[in-house]
Amino acid sequence: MSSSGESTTTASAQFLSNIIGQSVVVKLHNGMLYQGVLESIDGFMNIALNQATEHYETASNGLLHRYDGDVFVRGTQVLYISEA
Amino acid sequence: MSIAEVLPLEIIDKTVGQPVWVMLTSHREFAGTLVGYDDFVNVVLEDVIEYDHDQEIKRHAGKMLLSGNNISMLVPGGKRL
Amino acid sequence: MSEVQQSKRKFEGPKREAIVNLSKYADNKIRVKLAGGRLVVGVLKGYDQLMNLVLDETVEHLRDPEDDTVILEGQTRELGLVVIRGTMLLTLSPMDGSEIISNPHGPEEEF
Repeated sequence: MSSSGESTTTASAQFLSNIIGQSVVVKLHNGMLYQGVLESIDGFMNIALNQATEHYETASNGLLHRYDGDVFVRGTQVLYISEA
Repeated sequence: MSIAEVLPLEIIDKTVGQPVWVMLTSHREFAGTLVGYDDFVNVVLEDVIEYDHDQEIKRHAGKMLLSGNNISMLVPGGKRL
Repeated sequence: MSEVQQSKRKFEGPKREAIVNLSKYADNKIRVKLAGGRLVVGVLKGYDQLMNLVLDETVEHLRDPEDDTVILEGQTRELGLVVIRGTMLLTLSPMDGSEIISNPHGPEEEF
């Protein structure tokens, strides 16, 4: 049932380990969009961002808030995490 | 138990590397290239266009991990415009 | 004590079979409702134990943008071959043996 022969790690786990420390965008189910540096992420998709900005739906929709420190995002609310 | 001719996960597996159109339970949809997936059908996509109510919302140049939590349908071949 | 546990285990049973045998709908047109309100009709080509489905010649029935619960009559979009997640499946029914009736709760028609 695994997707590819060459590795036992899943595509999602591989992606997550590759993007730590990079700039990412995270969207929640309610449409809030967070852009920042990915500090860490776990298997539940709990996410810690640094220097995040908050927008609604897209970054072109005006800055709602700027977080100078860390932002923790609960995994259950995460719709996607994407390379910025 | 009879064996179905086509297994759903087999179809998804054959779509890896090809365009796919992912629909959520909401009116949100994602069209991109399928990079991979896991047992929960969390999906990794590349070069994604995000839609809501059939309107383009946002383009994502790199890779994206889309939570399988709200995925209702996957359409191999990509979005039909 | 161990006997009780054993008999309990026996009662619960080791194998779980699906309560519907989807093989009888293979290559038949079925109507599937999904969590969130999507409605699709397609030909059942495959499935697994988790009730993930493969449908072909699939059409999705469009809904009123103002009200998600209202299906717009005759307005569909073609999806072709699709995979449906079993986790999101609400109802599944065969198309033949059912017919579409006019809304019985709608405004009364004149005779």
